Amino acid sequence: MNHENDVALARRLDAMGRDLAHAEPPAPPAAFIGAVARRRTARRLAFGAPALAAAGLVLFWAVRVQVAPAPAPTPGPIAVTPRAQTEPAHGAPTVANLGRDASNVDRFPTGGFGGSMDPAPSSYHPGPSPALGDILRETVPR
Amino acid sequence: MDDAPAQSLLAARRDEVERHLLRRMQAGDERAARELWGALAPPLIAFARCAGAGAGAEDAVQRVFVSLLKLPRRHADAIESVRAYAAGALRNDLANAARSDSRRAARETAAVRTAPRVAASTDDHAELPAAVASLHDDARDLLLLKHVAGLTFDQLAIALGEPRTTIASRHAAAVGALRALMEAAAAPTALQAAGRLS
Repeated sequence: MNHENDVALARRLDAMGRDLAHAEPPAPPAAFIGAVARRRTARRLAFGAPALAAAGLVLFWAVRVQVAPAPAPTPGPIAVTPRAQTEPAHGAPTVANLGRDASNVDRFPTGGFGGSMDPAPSSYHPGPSPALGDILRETVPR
Repeated sequence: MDDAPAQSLLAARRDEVERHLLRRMQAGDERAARELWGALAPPLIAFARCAGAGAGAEDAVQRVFVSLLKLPRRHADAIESVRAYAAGALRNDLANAARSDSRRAARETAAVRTAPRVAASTDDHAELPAAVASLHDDARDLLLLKHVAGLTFDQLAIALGEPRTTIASRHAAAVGALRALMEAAAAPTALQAAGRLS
């Protein structure tokens, strides 16, 4: 008997629940819908930013390839300057030997400056050069 | 009072649809959010009102929905029944609110008990909400989740974290206690009626 009463009571509870649940179907609150919209925006940003960065990188690479300088043209024949115009003639005064007097070279020992008797550095071999007077005598016409 | 197999199948299908809606809502689909709200909010709000939330019922349900929205993906994928999860979360939210402001909760519970919201207050169950509200909290919540929120025993087991057989036993005991309470309340009325007749 109690079981039957309990079953009947459960059915009454079901009916009560249906009445309560369907009494006033509420609209979703604006705050909740706003939270969903913000989530959509955040999700788009989260997925869109890397894609945008990748697209920008590709675009930058493409533009960079487009504006890159064209390859240099094939070099043509090089004008050869005559050797005689670039190098002094043999025996002419040069920067290396101008002002150096052969007599001075002979006067100082090859051992170096300052009277040292050490052997001169192997790279210091000025060699005999003509005296400035001789050079002038040969080059300057009388 | 066990669920029929057809009802279980229907509930399983409904769970599947609601899980899909939850995934879409978490992806920011406003239409899915509205659909899920329309499916879950009315019974949950009714449960919250009967459980003592009063005017704060909709706010409590909204908090539950926002928590669903912010649920990490791995947790959301592990949910078997969104309805059961939401009901359990709502029950916890109401319990926390009652603990944090016991005086306000007591006042609102008293308001619900003295003026139960029976919208379609037919004569058949006009006294039921007051009788349910006078039950012990656990029994009251169990009956409300089952009959107002519309959870199955499987979903109740998920929401309350207890085995299905335990839930079924507790439900039978709660219905028996409610019947005894209503019979005890009806007895003086019957005696008074008998006195008037005699």
